[in-house]
This record gives sequence, structure tokens and C-alpha cells, in this order.
Amino acid sequence: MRRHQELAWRTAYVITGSTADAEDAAQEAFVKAYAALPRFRPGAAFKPWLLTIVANEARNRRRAAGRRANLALRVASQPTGAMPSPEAAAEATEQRQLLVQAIGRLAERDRDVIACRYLLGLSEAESADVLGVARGTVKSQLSRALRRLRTVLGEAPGQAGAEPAGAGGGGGER
Amino acid sequence: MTDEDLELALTDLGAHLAWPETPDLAAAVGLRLAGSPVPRPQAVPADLASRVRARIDDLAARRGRLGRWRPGWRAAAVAAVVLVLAITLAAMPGTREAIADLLGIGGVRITQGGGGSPPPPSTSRPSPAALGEGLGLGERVSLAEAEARTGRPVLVPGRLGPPDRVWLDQTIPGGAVTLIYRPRAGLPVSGQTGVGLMLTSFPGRLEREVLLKKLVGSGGRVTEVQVGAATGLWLEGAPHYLFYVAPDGTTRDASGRLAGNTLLWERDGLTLRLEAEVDAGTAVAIATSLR
Repeated sequence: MRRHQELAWRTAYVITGSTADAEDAAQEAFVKAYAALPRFRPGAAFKPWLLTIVANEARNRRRAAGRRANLALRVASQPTGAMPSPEAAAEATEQRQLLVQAIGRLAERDRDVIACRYLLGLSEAESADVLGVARGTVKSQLSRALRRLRTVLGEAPGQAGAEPAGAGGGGGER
Repeated sequence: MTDEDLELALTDLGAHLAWPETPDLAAAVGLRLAGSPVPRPQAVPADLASRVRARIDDLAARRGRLGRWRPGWRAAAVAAVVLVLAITLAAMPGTREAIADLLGIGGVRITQGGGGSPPPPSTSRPSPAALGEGLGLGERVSLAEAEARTGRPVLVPGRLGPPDRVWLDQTIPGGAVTLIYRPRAGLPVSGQTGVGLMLTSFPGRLEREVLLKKLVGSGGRVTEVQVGAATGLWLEGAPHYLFYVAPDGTTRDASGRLAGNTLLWERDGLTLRLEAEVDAGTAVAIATSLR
């Protein structure tokens, strides 16, 4: 369940974009989960149940903060041994960094669904629990989010950076 | 970039993210779970309390968060963490890793129910004749069969003689063997299990994935007791729930039932759990007669 702890926190982090809020949300979620354990349906999967609670707590905090969280994810530096050359490693890291920045420029809903599926590695069903939507909705939200991500990636980095709303103001259609 | 390329890139990104370090939620949650009633201080060794205070001070220093808490919480928090630590020390080293998953420490986890009314007991109270049926104990086997299939001798309490029924749950890694004794003089029928005594053993060092968790309802009491050379834990006064967390991460409550007075201890690499409506002395006497 250590991975529950980590996953719970990361999920909260993705939603709130703040390590402090994520910690609060995850803590609160664990406390609530324990209190609710007796009501937990035996035989049900624990993870989605916990994640639902975490996501609710995190969303509450995001709402309370009243601003769009600026998710600051970083890319791990690639161990050079894993790649054919240091240059290739550096390039792979750079590509990932561009992708992370692009995700950061997405609207909240697009970013959330991409984070659930790819960054947190959740299944479609688990993502639906976290996002509080139907499973079918995850599919459609995801394809829309990917489309927008491609658009963002198509922009020149300078162009996107010069647009203040894109960097932190919740740009993108809602 | 095609959809497929993008998805591949995102999957690759997911594997190469440098996430901020996950904070020690477990410790904080453990502290916050500290509700009333506060466990009796004498139930735990004195040195643990100082260790825990040090830990809390450490936490406070690191996080600067304790200041937000109501004053009474600190005492409650100390007691609760002491309780958890005491249990850790007494319980199975093999499951420490599993419990670490929950609270950052190993062993059996016991939390005070605190707040909220305890859920209703299982709707269908097992009849005394059932002898463990419907308790999610696995399949009915003979003693010899249980030994053959687990590859270990089954410890039987000499004080009670051969069990009236034997169950084997092989979904627990290493196999959990449960001996059932009918109610008899000195072994009243348990309101929770419908039997006189239930003794479960499973490998304590092999099932690190299996988390044994007990939720003690408010009013429950946990004390350390000596079982032969081992330190055991005696839980009494309030029904509690028992959960297993399976290797796949799902939480399984084998029976959905509440457990009554329970003795937990470790012997020969096994974790043993004795459940009966007897007092601690009787439970320990039965436990030490195991051979």
C-alpha cells in the first residue's frame, strides 16, 4: 500500500498542482478512508475507492484556491548508460521536457485526463473515478485532450511562452 | 505526430517524470487518526513514548504543522502512535513491510475506531453448529491435509486437544490454517464467530504482502501480554474488523464480520491469532500450550 500512498499523493498533486495542498488532500483522504473502511464493500478494489476520495479532496482544495494550479512537473535526467549515447539521452530528456511543458499549458480538464492516463498510469476506469465522470466520458475527454495537446506541441515554444494566458491563466476553450 | 506517437511519447514521459517526493503521509495520518479514547498508557513500554514524542517533535520541526492542531491532540497522537509502535514491536517482522505501506512501520496495525458509530455486526450470525462455515476461512480439510498442503506442522493447543474442525485458506500466501473448537465449559459461544475458539496461523515472514489490519471500535483495549518467550497483543473490550490486503492491492475482508477478544502473537515464523470470549489469562494459557 506504499504505492497507494504514493499514487494518492501524486493524484492529489496532479489535481492541485501544489505539494502542500496535495499533502493536505491526501492526508484528509486517508483519514476519511479509514473512517469509512467499515463501509467499504468487501471484495471491492481498494485503489479506485481510495483514489475517488483523494480526487474529491484535491478538487475541493483546487476550488478553494480559486486559481488554476500551475503543475510543475520535471523530467528525470536520463541515466546515460540507458541510451546509446549521451547526446541521445539529452535529446530524449529535452523531448520529454517539451511534452511536460505542453501538458502544463493545457486547460485543467484536458490536463487532468492526460495526467490520469499517462502520468499516473491509471486505467480508464480508475481515471473515471478520479475525474468523477463516466467511463465513456474519459475516452472522449482523452481524445479531445490529445488533440489539443498536439495543437500546443505544434506551436513554437517562444510563441506559447509569450502568451501569458497559456502559461498560467487557464487558456484553452472550456 | 500521430495519435499513436503521441500516446507513446506520453507513456514514455510517465515513466521518466521526476515527481516531488511523496511526503510521509502515513505518519501524519497515524497521528490524525488518534481519536478518543486514548489507549491506556500502561499498555505500552515507557521508552516507546519518548521515542514517539521525539518523532512527533521531529515531524513538527520538519513540517511546522503541529501548531495547527488543537492542544489535546498531541497527547492523543502520542498515545496512538505509541500504540502502533508497540504493536509493531510485538508483531510479525515479516509484515512490517506491508504495514509500512500504510503507516510507514511494520506489523499489525490497530487503530482506534474513534468517531462514527461502529457498523452493524454481520447480519447473519453464524450458528454454533456451523463451526466456522461462512467465516471465509477457506475450505474444510483434515489436520493431516492441512499439514500436507502447507508443508508445515499445525500447532494444536494441548489444553484443548484436537480441533473440532480445520479450515485451510490457500489464498493467503503460505496458507492460513484455522482450527475451530466448539463452545464448551470455559469456552462460551462467541457472538462474532458462533464457535468456542478460533485459532488461525499463517506464515508471518512470507506473507509480507498480506496486511493484517484491525480496527478497534471505540472502547477497545490493547495490551501487551507475554506468550511464552514471545510478546503478544491482547485485544478486548470491543469488536473490531479484520482486513487483509491481497498482493494485488485489493482489500479483502474475508468475512465482513467483527472479531471478538483476540490474542495475536508470533511463533516459529508464524503469525497466530486466537479468538475466543475468554479472558487474557485463559487465552495466553491456551496459546502457550500449543505444540
